[in-house]
Amino acid sequence: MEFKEFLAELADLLEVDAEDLNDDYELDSENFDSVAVVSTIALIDEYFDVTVNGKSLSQAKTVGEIMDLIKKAKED
Amino acid sequence: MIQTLASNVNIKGIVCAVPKNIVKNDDFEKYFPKEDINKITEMTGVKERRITNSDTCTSDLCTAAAAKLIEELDWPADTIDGIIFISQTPDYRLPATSCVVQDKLGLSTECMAFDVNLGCSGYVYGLWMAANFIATGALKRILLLVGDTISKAISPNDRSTSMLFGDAASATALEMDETSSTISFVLKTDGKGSDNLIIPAGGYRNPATQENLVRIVQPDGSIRSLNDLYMDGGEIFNFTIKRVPPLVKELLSINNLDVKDIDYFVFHQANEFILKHLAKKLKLSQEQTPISIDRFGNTSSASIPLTITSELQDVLSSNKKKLAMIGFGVGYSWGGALMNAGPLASLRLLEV
Repeated sequence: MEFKEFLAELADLLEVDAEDLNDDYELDSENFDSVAVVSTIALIDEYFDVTVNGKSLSQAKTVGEIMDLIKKAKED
Repeated sequence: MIQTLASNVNIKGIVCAVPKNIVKNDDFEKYFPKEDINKITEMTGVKERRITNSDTCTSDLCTAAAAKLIEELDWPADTIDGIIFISQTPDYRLPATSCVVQDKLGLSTECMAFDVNLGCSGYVYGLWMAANFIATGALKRILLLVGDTISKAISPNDRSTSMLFGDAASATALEMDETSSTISFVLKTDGKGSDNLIIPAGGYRNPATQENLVRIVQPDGSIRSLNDLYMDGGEIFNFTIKRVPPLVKELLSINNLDVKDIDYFVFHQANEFILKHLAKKLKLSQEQTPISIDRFGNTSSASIPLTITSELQDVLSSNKKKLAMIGFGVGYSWGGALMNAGPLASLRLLEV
């Protein structure tokens, strides 16, 4: 459930429709710039109460990779 | 775990000084697309900032603030027995700027003076030092001078810093007073983050050279030299959300207090997005978290006293309030102070 709400907010942040945002959605320096990275760190903290590494997050190539970082942070 | 208490310390007054010159983000349209500027402005919350000219140093702002403070408190020069100057923008690599300021203010030679290099946490650390000198009986009256003119170390072509930082300085008067209530402090350090907010060259590790003074395109896409300030915004944000909420909770728990018992949380004004996130996470009301970053930017070590003088002047001039001051950033260094403050005999913001 929290993943669904998180993805809705992430879609908002990336300025895309929530339906278009799946694990394969590609991130680049255009749609995922430093401002978006910081906003995503805040969203992750808010929804999952974990902090993901800023450098790793900025290197994520797809939304799926963001989800993997969250899962990994939750396990640690 | 550094938690300390200091008693018999009274904060008599705080005066801040900012330069008259106002810089707005529109001025950066020659460097960045308007769309990017709007995006950055939305995140930082900075609408305008005060920027010094090339002739004005942090010490000049501090001296102006201190002179006004001494005058308003009517403190004879020979009754001040200590100056602490905390800044990352000193006049010289040596001597200590505090020595230069001691003379400029016409203080007695019976006055200890030294500098400390700290940024966003500097005001809290400075209060801790000054309060402890008084609590131990070593000194009776101290001027704590804290400020920065970080604009001097910023590349206009670096979007992560060029529209964020402003210049400001403060002078705080502390005095021995046996009727004062105790101030509690929590102070922390993690040098693992030292590379994430840094001016890499210009010291003795990497002395300034003709090569490293040249502004070039850096791996993050910004144009700056190794003598300009570098900030990894994502990492700094991570540090803040990881460290600041537990710091606030620790400061409250050692005093057996709840967030609702505190009148004001005066946070270092890092950027508005961070401040809002911290307030949300700690469940603080808007009234409890004064904000000045919209008009002054991130003024580094000066942001806590600047927020007190600009946002709480009326309240603290006539009332006693419970204040938590929370500084965090460069180092990484972070700390909190909790006290009953006011009514302050001198509390104002000067334009110089």
